[in-house]
Amino acid sequence: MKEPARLIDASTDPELVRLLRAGRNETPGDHALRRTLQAVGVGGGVAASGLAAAAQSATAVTNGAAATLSASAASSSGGLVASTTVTATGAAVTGAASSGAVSVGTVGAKLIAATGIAKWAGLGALTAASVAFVPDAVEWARNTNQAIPVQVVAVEGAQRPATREDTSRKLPTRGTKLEHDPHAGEPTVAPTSEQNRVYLRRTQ
Amino acid sequence: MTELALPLDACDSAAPPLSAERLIHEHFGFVWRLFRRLGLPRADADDATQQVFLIGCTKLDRIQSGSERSFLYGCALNHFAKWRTRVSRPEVGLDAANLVSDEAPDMEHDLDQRRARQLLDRALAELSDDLRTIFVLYELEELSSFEIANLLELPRGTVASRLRRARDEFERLVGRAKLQRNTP
Repeated sequence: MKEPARLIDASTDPELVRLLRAGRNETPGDHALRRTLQAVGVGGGVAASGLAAAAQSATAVTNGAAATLSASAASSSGGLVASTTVTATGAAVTGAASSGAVSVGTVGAKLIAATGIAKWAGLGALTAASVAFVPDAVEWARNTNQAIPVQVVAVEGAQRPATREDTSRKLPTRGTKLEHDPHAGEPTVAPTSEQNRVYLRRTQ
Repeated sequence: MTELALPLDACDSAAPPLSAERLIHEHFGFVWRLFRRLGLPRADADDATQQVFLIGCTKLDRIQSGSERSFLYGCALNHFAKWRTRVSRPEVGLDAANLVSDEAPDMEHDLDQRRARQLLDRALAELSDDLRTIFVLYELEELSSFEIANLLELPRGTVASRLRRARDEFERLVGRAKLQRNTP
């Protein structure tokens, strides 16, 4: 069976060729590739700059920092029904999540948590990370009723303005008031909140 | 946010790191572009691609040599289906907010390229899933119809006929868009 010529070569319509070429040439950002390599444990350097830069006055969490991941009960408040604390030894993962956007799952025998996106608020004034879980992570928290030694393998902060996509899918349950919510009563997220990902590897 | 619901067996030290690295390096762009052309915004495509490779990492020993793309493609489609249940329909409009939020991190791409991709995605979004998949794999990822047939587990004749329909439809959509743009 003969292969038809591809449109990008055969078409006489320059507009069509332009569109196809634009699609074909689009490439992912280096950070996406790097992050994935880190997440599976084969990456080189670790971008610890995100959270550190965001936290500024706090001690940065760096690759290899020892930490403890524990699930603790929390009062149900809106959609934030559980929390966990990641405390690095001699350092601090700073920030308090103001909206639940973290999903924790067991990735492998060692890589136990690749978090989703936490929106950190109150930067610079906090000494520990309280990451609010969305309900789909609660089960994990309940089943993991113990402190688990972990190692921070990557911390990445996108540090980009919250997008419309963010605000549409990461809203806490109606009624939850955020610390920096300029429209009290209306669930929203701060438009400039940093987003950080923390990748943890179980150390035993 | 992406969900993580992965098996306990492992992306750990037992997995050969070089193989994982090679898998990622060789196919990252393919998976990522696939997500993009399926309508995911860049940030979501980043997340989704990572999830695919996290899964791939857990199953390195089960991926047969030469079928890496097929495996990753299957994972990607599975992930895409979940993503689509969360967002009712991919946003592919040409509004300024979407342009800024989606593309701002990639400033190296000029505006013309961004607009072209927006138009491309808008046209692709109007194709049915069956046609769009084959069109993307053939015209953008340059897979052969034989590879596509294997990937999708379809007869080659079906791939060929769907590709013809997809191309006709795509050309019609692009032509219509041009007409609309040129109409005062």
